[in-house]
Amino acid sequence: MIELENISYTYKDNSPGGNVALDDVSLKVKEGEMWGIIGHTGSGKSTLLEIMSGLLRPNSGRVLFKGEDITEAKSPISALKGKVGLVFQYPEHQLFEESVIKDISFGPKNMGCTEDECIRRAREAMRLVGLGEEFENLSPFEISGGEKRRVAIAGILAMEPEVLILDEPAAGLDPEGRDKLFDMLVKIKGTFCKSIIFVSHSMDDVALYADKVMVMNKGKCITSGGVREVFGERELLLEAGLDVPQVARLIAQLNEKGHSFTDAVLTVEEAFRAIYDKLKG
Amino acid sequence: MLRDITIGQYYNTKSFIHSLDPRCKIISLAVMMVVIFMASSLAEYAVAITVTCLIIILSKVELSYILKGMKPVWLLVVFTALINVFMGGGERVIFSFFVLKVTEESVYLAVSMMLRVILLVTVSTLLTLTTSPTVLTTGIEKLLKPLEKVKFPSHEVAMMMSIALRFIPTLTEEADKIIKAQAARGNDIESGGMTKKIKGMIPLFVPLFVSAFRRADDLAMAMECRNYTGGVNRTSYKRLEYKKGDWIAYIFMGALLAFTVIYHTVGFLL
Ligand SMILES: Nc1ncnc2c1ncn2[C@@H]1O[C@H](COP(=O)(O)OP(=O)(O)OP(=O)(O)O)[C@@H](O)[C@H]1O
Ligand SMILES: [Mg+2]
Repeated sequence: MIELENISYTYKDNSPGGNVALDDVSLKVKEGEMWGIIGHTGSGKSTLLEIMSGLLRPNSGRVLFKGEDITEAKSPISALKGKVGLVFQYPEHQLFEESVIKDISFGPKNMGCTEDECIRRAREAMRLVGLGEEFENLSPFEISGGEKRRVAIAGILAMEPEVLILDEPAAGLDPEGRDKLFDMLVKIKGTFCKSIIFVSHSMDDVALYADKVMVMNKGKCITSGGVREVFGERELLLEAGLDVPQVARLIAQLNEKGHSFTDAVLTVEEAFRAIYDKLKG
Repeated sequence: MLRDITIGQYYNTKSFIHSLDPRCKIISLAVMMVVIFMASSLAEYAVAITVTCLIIILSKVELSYILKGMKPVWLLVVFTALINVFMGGGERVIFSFFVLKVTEESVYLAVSMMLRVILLVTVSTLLTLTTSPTVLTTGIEKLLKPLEKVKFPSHEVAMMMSIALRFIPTLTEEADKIIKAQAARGNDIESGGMTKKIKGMIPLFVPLFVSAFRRADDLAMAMECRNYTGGVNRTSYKRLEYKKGDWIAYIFMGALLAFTVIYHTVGFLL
């Protein structure tokens, strides 16, 4: 779906020579994949997402969407025609309309959909994120933070993007809200939305929901691949200021004490199975 | 582009100008403004430009940084210059075109207006570039202190100004984010006609105002939580004291002001 080839990007700010945010990053996202991107703060994750969705033009390198180079287009974002949707960090801060349904229809309206089509898509998006009909005519400023987040995500879903990109979608949500959000993502992958890419600071969320992981460190991609392979390289992750999921840490500690669990344990469910089987003998 | 606004930002280095007392710098700025406004002859402009350049050199602020701060006012400068060139009136016509005529006087007027705006923006930017907001506030407060006798809330005004300055970069950053977030939803402010552009502003301004109010509310709350009650009996962590450099600067600025005033009146009398 999306291919990044040797992307570099430097912010021109007040520091001499600018601020190198990305240095020769490549990534290939195939249809049906769920990617998690991890990295310490300031490692360039958000910049990478903005380049992927055509908001920023890389200084060098190419971005291919379905084989078509969008970096050459006059405006990369219009070349994508809403096919790549980006949900920003704290997206609730961008709400502006007088009612929830109007705000959600903003995207489709800009894409040139008819009134009826806008409403249909907005209702469908609200259903996907689990907002009941009673929200339609409320002001987006009088609902709770978690509900605002869902409205904002629905605003992107209403554009029916084939690739959905989310920047720390779970930041500031309670555990239940977080689980609901990721369950929703898993559910919509396979409808109009073919691939999902999300940034997270929680290794546990990435282990649980993503099937591919990319690790960023100081503007470089230090490794990427299947969840199991990447979380198998703990040293590399520690070097980048990250770690493996908590459960994997538990298993590693048990193994240090002379137990022999398999290393491929990432989620609570898997750990339960492994330990339960062991205890039963 | 929004991040280029340098007005209200502090450029952190050590220099003679940085080390001056804020009161001295504010008064010097006022003197410079008078000098720039009164300038009407080549000699006076030369003096104003020279002094401004001298301040830039002494402040050790990179020139590119100051030029970047000029970017937002460029349009204004060029626009006023053009209007002055074509509409300035005057006798000695250089060439004319329909109703528009360019005269020696209008060209002179346009160039001097342009110089004035550029110099004014430069010296004001230099004040904030070389003075950290907290120090600037203390300076303003001290200068306004005498007005307290007539019930003028000098501390509150100074506090408000410093908070406003402090929030310029924060809000531009926020605006940058919101522009991008709405662009991701297909909001296009770059192409299209005037009405389309204005319409595209609504999705930017509403969230920006909402966030500005939210920040203001949070800040007010945070200040109250730390027992802020205004200026009564508040002492200052940074004491302001005049040093040798300040007196030198005062004498220099005094001389400059005297020169301008005398030159001006003499010029009129002749
Ligand atoms: N608009 C900007 N102007 C200048 N520098 C920027 C800008 N945005 C980001 N940067 C810099 O680019 C680098 C990468 O930032 P980025 O926001 O992509 O990091 P991130 O991985 O998303 O961090 P976080 O986890 O904190 O969100 C950082 O060093 C940051 O300071
Ligand atoms: Mg980020």
